[in-house]
Amino acid sequence: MALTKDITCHQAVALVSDYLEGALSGRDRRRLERHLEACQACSAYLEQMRITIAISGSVGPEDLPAEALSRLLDVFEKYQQDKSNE
Amino acid sequence: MYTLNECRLIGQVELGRTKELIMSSVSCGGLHTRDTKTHVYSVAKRNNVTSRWANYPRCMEDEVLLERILGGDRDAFTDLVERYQSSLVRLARYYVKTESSAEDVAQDTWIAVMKGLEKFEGRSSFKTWLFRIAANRARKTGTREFRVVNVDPVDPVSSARFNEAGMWREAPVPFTELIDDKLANAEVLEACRSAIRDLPEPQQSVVTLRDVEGLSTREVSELLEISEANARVLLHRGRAKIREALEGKLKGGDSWH
Repeated sequence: MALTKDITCHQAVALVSDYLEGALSGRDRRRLERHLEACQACSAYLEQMRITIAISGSVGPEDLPAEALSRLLDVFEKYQQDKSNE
Repeated sequence: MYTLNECRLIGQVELGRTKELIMSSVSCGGLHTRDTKTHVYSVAKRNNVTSRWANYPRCMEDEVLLERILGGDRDAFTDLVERYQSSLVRLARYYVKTESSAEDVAQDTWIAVMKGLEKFEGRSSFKTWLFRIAANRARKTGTREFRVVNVDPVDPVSSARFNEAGMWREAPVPFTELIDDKLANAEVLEACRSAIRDLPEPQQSVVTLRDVEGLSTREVSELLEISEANARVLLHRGRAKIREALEGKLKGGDSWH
């Protein structure tokens, strides 16, 4: 939990998401990376954030209600019919 | 040939290998890369997984499904709908007032997809094309204006966690030390899903499109008609809340503040 001369942990945490998005200016990126090198707690926070994003990417689609699916399948069938009647 | 979702399901739900998969995805820079996909597939294969997810046509890329849909394949259409419907409704809901009108927008989107499929040239990915159609339809239907984004004033990481000098009072623990394969993976995924559902709009749409669907920040900003900078602010806040919910779950208890 070392405090570097540049930014505090509180400030570092605010930069983490933009850092992962590659959206920080060179100066901010260097300041954050310097802080991360010295600070285990913020490195753990960065790791948590990476994993949070990975888990969000794994949740997959929500279950589709049978009713909604059958409505869409009706639309699909009708479209196929219209197409073959053309 | 599995889609990423199937890999996730095979790998996580059926094998109970959250930790390995998440670490491999992290080291590949996120789950939305082909290398990760190959890796997850090989993990599944190594473990001799034969699952319901391996059945036709659930193991197809979007583009393969599209070919089949052009030939009138109903199962392929079902698979594609199951894959995208919830995110389409979510995106539509950003613009329209009610859930049922969002569902109507999604239905119109599928009709437009069927009509346009023969002309779809694959210059963008199918996913990008699909979400663009939905956003255009929703905009025409919707009355809501999100162009001026109200930034939620709540600090994403509670100030109470830092002392006056801006240092952590209690250091966060890396999730890899907390994730235990004994903890049901389905539980972690469900905690994440529910944290996403609990996000206020427009954070929920931003997180769904960027982190769940893996679209680029630029694509998200175009679909939602906000600046990329705004999209990133919303993403940051949404992610911070999900992180907090997961931390609560992994530490074994309710989310704490």
